[in-house]
Amino acid sequence: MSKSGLTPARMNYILWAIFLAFMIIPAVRPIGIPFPIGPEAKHAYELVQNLPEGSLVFFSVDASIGGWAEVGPGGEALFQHVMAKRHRVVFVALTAPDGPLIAEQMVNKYHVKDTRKYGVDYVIFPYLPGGVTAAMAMADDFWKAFGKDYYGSPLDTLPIMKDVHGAKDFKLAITLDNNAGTETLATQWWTKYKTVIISQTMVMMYSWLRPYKDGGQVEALLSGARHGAEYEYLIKSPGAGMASTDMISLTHAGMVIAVIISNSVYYFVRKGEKK
Amino acid sequence: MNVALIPGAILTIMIFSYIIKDNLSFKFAESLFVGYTIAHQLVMTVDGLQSSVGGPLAKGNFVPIIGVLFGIVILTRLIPSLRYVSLWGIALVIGVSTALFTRGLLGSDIMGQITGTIGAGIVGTGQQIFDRIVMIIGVLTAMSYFIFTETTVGGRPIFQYPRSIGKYFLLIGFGVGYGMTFLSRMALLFGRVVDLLRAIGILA
Repeated sequence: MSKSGLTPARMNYILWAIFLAFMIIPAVRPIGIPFPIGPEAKHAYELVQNLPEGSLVFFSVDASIGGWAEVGPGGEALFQHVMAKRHRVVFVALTAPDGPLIAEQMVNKYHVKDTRKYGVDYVIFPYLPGGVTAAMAMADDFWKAFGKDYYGSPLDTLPIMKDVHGAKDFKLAITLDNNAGTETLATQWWTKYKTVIISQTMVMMYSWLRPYKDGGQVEALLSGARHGAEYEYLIKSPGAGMASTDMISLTHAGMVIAVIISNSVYYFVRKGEKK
Repeated sequence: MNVALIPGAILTIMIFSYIIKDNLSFKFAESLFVGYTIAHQLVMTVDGLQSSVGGPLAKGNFVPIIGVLFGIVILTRLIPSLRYVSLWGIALVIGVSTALFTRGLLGSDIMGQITGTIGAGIVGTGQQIFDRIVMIIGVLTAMSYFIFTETTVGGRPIFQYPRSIGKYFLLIGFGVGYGMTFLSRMALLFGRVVDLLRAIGILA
């Protein structure tokens, strides 16, 4: 223990308290720190925007509720955009059992039923276990992969399914991913069908998924609530992403300052010990 | 105050009580989460099975039964004398998954990545050219760190410098990965903090 009585454990509590304040203050009293719109969000936006109306979009909700704070803002913005552009959307879950539940929640949250008809404009499929095998089964033949939709309706009662047979029918594939949805689509769907893929993922997954973007397998790679905020700005629908940008900016700045201070203290303490 | 958010808020506080020390409320919330997750996954899996097997069977297609049989034999692991039978099911799962992965990986993770790294050539704007040069140097030197473990050839330290440069690229990569993981966890914490503030009525 130092002379001041500050043990490492107490220092941890103080640091957490400071970061908690950095989160709560901007949440209660937004500061409005400006953020630029990057090329990645713009590119994803243009991909959805430039699709002809009524295009079939494969929308895979591969994120669980636990990661929704990161994936959700961008995911919901993409959802609103494809619905507003009146594309026809097929919701699936490649890697997350919660996927259909989240898709249903988004449908209810944005009152999609008021303007779009279930079975004609969009359809929700249940989670199909199997990962890569399930992804390929869907890509080859949707009708064989799924006997029924999420609500138990046979596929021949859903008009949208007349045009859905496999991966080649989709103009765009979107994955909201905090699991392995991006890799599954990139290695299976892109390799065989050259499907155009947009991935909204978590910040910590960005560095290992970035090679898929550089290699051209993933057309647009969005990460975290920050890209979500940019997308919300582009579709002019402020949501959780834009609300959290102040929190993100402040805590990230605080963290950089903490890293600099702790490294400087460590350096000078070691220098003092050597003397 | 949003009543619907209160159970989630209470469970969040129970989980975060671990910061102070391990305790009964943390254990309760942890067990509840594990139990819920497994139950939900089980229901979803059984539902998927009914859909992908029950549907075709009802139409007179008995092919999915082969898959179900291979699935059932995996359960023979529970009987020591029949344990070897379970290997057939496991072999099928691993064989199919490996075959699909290998096909995908060749195109996406090997050819796609080589094309992405050097295929486009060193062209574009000043920043793009710089990025591409850094990427090519980084890829080659990082690979040399793992491949050329013997640094000297004929007594001359030919691979020493590429390996050293590669080591720094790897360190930067690991550092970035760690930093992003931390920031990502913080962002998840934002979500919980916002929900807590909503639950107690501070945020709308």
